Amino acid sequence: MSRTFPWLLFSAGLGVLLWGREGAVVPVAGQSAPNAGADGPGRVVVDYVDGADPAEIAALEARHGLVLDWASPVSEDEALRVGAASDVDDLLVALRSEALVEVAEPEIMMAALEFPDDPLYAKQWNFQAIGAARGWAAGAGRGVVVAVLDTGVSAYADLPAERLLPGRSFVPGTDSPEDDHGHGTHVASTIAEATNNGVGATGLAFSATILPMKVLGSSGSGATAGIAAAIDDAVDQGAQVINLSLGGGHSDILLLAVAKARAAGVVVVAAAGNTGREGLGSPANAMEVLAVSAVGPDDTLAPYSTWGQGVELAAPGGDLRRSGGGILQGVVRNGSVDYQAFQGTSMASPHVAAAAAVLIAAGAQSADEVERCLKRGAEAREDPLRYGAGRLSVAGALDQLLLQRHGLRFAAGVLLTAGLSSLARLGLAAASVTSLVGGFLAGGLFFLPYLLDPEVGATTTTIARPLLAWPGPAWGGFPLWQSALLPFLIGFVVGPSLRLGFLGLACAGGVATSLLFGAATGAVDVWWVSGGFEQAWLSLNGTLALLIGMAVAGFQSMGRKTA
Amino acid sequence: MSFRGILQWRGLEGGYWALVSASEELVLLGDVPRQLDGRSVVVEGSLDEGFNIFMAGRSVKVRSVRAE
Repeated sequence: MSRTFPWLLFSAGLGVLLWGREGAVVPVAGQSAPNAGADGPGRVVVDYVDGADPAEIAALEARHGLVLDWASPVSEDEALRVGAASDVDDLLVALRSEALVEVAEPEIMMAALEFPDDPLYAKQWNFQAIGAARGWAAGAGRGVVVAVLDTGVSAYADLPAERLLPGRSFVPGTDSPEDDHGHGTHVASTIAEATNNGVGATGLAFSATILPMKVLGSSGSGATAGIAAAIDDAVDQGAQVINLSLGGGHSDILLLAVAKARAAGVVVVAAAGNTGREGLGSPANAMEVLAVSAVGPDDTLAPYSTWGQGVELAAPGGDLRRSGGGILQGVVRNGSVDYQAFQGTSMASPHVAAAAAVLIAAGAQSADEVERCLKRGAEAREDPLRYGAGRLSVAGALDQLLLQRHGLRFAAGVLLTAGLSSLARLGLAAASVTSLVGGFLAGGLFFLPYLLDPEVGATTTTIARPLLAWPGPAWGGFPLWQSALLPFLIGFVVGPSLRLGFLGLACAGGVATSLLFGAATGAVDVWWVSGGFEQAWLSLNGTLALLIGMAVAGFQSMGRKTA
Repeated sequence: MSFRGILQWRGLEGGYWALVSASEELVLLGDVPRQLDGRSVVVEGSLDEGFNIFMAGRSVKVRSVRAE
């Protein structure tokens, strides 16, 4: 058992991993629906009573005018036949009354799930280039508020009103934050356009919430005071990210507003400008802003993009000189919805704002951490004046977050569990396996996204996280989950066993590490417990988990002596 | 103020009209008659000190545009 267990564990993990990378099998809309219960031609599948005489089956089918075949070469034993029928509904009623028939139903076409199913996604080269799928798998910015300071934002079918907060207008003479130009809606759609709804295009952080702040009028221009006031208001309204796809001359008031927003922990992203020359304008040149230059589909700086000192990242902004080279999103103009390809650093900026939302939703704790992950995860370029830290990579940024947040936990989990294994007097091989399992439970397989291509599945993303973060926001904060209960139960069941006791040690070591890390960093949100009590809960339970591990180690040590 | 140059459409940020002269390219904010595309024009307006989505240099709030 002791030799085979690691292989079983490895095989199980590999199985789960592969399952996570395969698309789930679901009925395909448009294929299954017309056939399911259709009053007309279609296909039926009939399961006859096992052992039914083929001659009786043939006679029955002849009576109903059916010409069916065995569903597969091996289905003769199961008496499963399938074929075309002229009137599915009536035929099924008749077949179900036959004693020879166990089940008769319409044949439902199944296919691997395509994600996303938005028809224009194939033309969104920009999202494919930056690894948007990783961001979607990591929560797509769920629960994060992104303020879009622009020409306003208009809801439409693919950017539904529930994705938008009420918003506000800072343009004199205009009360509504509705978009009367089209630019702001395009920018907001890059961030939060509904995804996998079978309509239009996708959004990079489609689960984020947009706070529309209209600061520019129908001509696309606006005044400094309104923009500064909107930044202040966005912070007050809880925005975690602010996107500024706008620019102009120097303004101390605007710079002060940006500095205050950043000091409040808000990530502020701005377009570098469209002069095609060196030298950033305001607010992109502010220290506290993430200034974004634009690249085209060939991944080189777009000819219109401003560059120079202060550019921190590059992101897709489009290049309409190339066929299909624009950034395609939904736009509302004069009340009508259209999907249009734009180009400009205004299009690059919301890519970074959306990526910031993805990181925050995935667990980044501060604006500093978001910026660090974005920069370190970017695809490096040799020209920092044009590309800053490099071209945005959502996949790379998430990898950085995983490494920073979970890599250390993994190492600590290994060390703590190795200590418990030593107390238990485990042999070298058993202690090594136990320590690795402890590290896995503490930090997850944080390195998996490095090893796999960017299109990792949800299961892979889950096991790349610590055990206590596996349930996600739905259950992860439940106090009994964030406690010593699990190591107590596992330790109680397997602790005395010399064969399985290592599981108790690993669980105690991994969970103790996670809980104590949570107490130290404040990164864990425990329900119904707040402030210092949250840290006290985590510290107490982390200590208890450690004590449980020591108790299991004691059992193991004594058992080995006796044996 | 009067500004002289050739009227040209720019496909940036959803599109805008630019007034192109030997010394500078100005972003035109406001209504511009599209039938003057490519023509030498005189733009009456004022330099805009605010912020805009075009970020392509100095901008002019247009009062009127006429062919030169």
